Amino acid sequence: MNAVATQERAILPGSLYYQQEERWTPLPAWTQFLLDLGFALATQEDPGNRIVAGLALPIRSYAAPFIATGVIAGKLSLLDQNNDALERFEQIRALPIGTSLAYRKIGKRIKGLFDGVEEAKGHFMILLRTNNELYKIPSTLALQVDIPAALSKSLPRRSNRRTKTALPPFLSLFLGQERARAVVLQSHLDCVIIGPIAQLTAEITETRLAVQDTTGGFAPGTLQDIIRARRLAKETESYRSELYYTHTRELEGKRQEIPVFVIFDGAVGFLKWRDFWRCSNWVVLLDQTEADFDTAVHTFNEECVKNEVKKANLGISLSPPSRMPVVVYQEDLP
Amino acid sequence: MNYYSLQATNDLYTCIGQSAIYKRRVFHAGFRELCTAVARLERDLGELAQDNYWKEFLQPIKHHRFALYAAPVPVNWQSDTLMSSIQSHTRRCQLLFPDFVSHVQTILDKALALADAQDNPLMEVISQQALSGDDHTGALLLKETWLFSLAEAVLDSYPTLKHVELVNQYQLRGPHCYDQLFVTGPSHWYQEYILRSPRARRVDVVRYGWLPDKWRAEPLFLSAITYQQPATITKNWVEDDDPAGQDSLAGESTGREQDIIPEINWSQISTRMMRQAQDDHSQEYLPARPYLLAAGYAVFLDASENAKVLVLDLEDEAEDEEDKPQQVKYLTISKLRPGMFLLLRTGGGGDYIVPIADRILRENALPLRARQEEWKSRLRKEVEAKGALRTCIDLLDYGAERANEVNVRNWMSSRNIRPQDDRDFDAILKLAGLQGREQEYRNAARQIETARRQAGFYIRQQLLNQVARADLSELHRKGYMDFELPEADGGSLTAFRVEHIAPEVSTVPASRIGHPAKVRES
Repeated sequence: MNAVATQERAILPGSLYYQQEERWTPLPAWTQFLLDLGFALATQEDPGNRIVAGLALPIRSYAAPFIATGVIAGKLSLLDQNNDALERFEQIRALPIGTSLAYRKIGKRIKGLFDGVEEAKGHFMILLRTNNELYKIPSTLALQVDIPAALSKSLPRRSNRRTKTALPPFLSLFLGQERARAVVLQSHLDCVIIGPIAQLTAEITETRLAVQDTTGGFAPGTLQDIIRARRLAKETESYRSELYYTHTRELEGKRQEIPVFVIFDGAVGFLKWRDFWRCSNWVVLLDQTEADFDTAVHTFNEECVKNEVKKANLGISLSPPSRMPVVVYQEDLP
Repeated sequence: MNYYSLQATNDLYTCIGQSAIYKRRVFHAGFRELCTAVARLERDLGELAQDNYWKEFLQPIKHHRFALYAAPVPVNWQSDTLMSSIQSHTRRCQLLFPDFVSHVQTILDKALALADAQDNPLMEVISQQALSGDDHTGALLLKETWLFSLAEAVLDSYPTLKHVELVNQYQLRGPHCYDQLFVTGPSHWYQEYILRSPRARRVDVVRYGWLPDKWRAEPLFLSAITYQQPATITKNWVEDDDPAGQDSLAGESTGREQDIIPEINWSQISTRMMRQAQDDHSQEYLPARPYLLAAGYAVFLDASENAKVLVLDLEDEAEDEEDKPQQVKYLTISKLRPGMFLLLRTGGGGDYIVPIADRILRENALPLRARQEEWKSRLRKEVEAKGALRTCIDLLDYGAERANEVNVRNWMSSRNIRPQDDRDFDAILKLAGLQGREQEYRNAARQIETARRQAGFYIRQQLLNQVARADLSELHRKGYMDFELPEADGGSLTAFRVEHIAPEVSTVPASRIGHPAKVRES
């Protein structure tokens, strides 16, 4: 198990503010709980096991985005990102030569074609060919290489595009310089949210938040700056999560990505998609007022009974808001 | 789209965190005696209670009893109607069931004793407990929408309760939080979220003391691994003591729980719908299920497996893959549940799609429809003459692929344009003596299909525009809302909330499906 220092857990989410009657106010305790829970879940690394959390909410609003923020912050706090980079490197190595790739550097996004891998002095390099250059990218930076969803084999006319990848103050104040840099440069699917996409989009992109800086000023931003939902990001931006509509058809016949966490935002999404994401960790958010709540709770409990589950030790004490039952357990990966 | 601001969501969490629940019991000796007398009769009748005479005798009494349990009305509410109903049965009882005359007489005496009592025990407690001050918000939750008019009349006579509005349980789901919520009747009559996740800082559950309140805050998730125990769910939960030990004196049962909420008389509802619907000439019968809707309406809906209905979906998803509004959509009827909103044609008569589709078809509408009717009527004649099974065999001989009795009935129906498979369609045309004209009939069906799709799209767009402008809180409160479609032949659609769904399917004329009818006063 890869534990993270307790004080770090407290520091990360504590610095977010939201706008209340035109004033910046610290986030309320229930959002703090959701951030903490996401963070604590993401920092439980136990190969062979997966973690499942279930929450019975009074209302679904904002729960998924705040938990996703905690998950992403938690994943970033795990200092050793080599495994993820190695996994991405293996993914790239398996691609056919000529596959279109994009390499992200500060201020630049370079598009080119995959030209194989090369070994030099015991280190692997990814070869990326553009119109006029051959880039050799160390395998440790594989997370900075994106594989576009639609594969193309022709070289773009302009392969070298300047991007706004300067670190936004909101992000660097919230996560710290190093992790903010990782978020901006590296794409990794830490989390998928499946739910009502219009509401989620509004919650993620329209809710103004801020982080206080050392001078007492506030750096504004939105949860999208941290969550980086792929569908809401510009083509040139990195991603950390993805949103899917509850009744999506996008996943049918699509190469199955396995996100680290899947957040089911609502009973219908959980009932419909739970078998699709069996290899990911789960956060199941059930709104107590929704029509399928009872069915979803019954199904959730059946999953507990069917599988050999053990209570997860999150290493911190969780105090859920009043009248919000929460369950967290671990089970063997299928 | 149900998008709420972080501030509104936070206000709800704050409200729920502070919420206190009080369970309060009220007592009324006279009403209790009436309930006990009715329960005693039911107990002594045993199986005989299923006899039509006793069903007819008991139904209005149970209805009356439920109204008193569920709404804050005085105990002499409609006592004249109740007594005349009991008296009308008394004479026949002497002839048919002389052993039970004394039971009936006791019930009549108890009802008579209530006639002059103007006590309103539920309302007395509500007015005593109501928070004072003009700036408070309050709501009174009622189990059924038909109780609203009763409670409204009573509330009007209490000036101190002017701030209290009547709500149904579907209205208590968003972020809005009242200062005080009154719940009438036992907690288990309502969805669990009413108390698990209350939309009020203070909830007063008021019920007659002899009615058991069976709901307990059991853990939702398996307790061994949960982070919150039931004790925290019932935080601030105050159980009112029996005010003067009156309940403990009772001794006798006042009826079984399943008898307290009167069973819906679906056969009566179906009969009323059949009486009100238009005459049917097609002689086409289809399996259908009755649905009880808000405002005292009911409707038959097609019970076949893949049948769909237009719904207004305010709860679930508000967008499709392309993030376009999707609040008006077709839903498989088997997925309908109480609380959802059905969109039904209420003005202009008939199917709302057909007139618009015909307008799209212009001068071709009549000949195309005539062609469609021609093969359908010939097919119906074949079935009438030879029976469905023989017709299926003939169709299979002519090359049909999916000819079975269910499909043949479906193809005969005026609601179906044509069989999906060309081989089935060709076989029907051959059987109907229309061989050699297959292309002509296929073209006609294709044009009707295209026009129907365009008409459906057009109606949906019109509805979406209206929904976007509508005050949907009004829809939630009343349970229905009219949407005028001036460009659709002056017709209108009404969104009705589904309140109850009949357990049984019956066979009704196709022309009576989808037409809402008023079956009781709202």
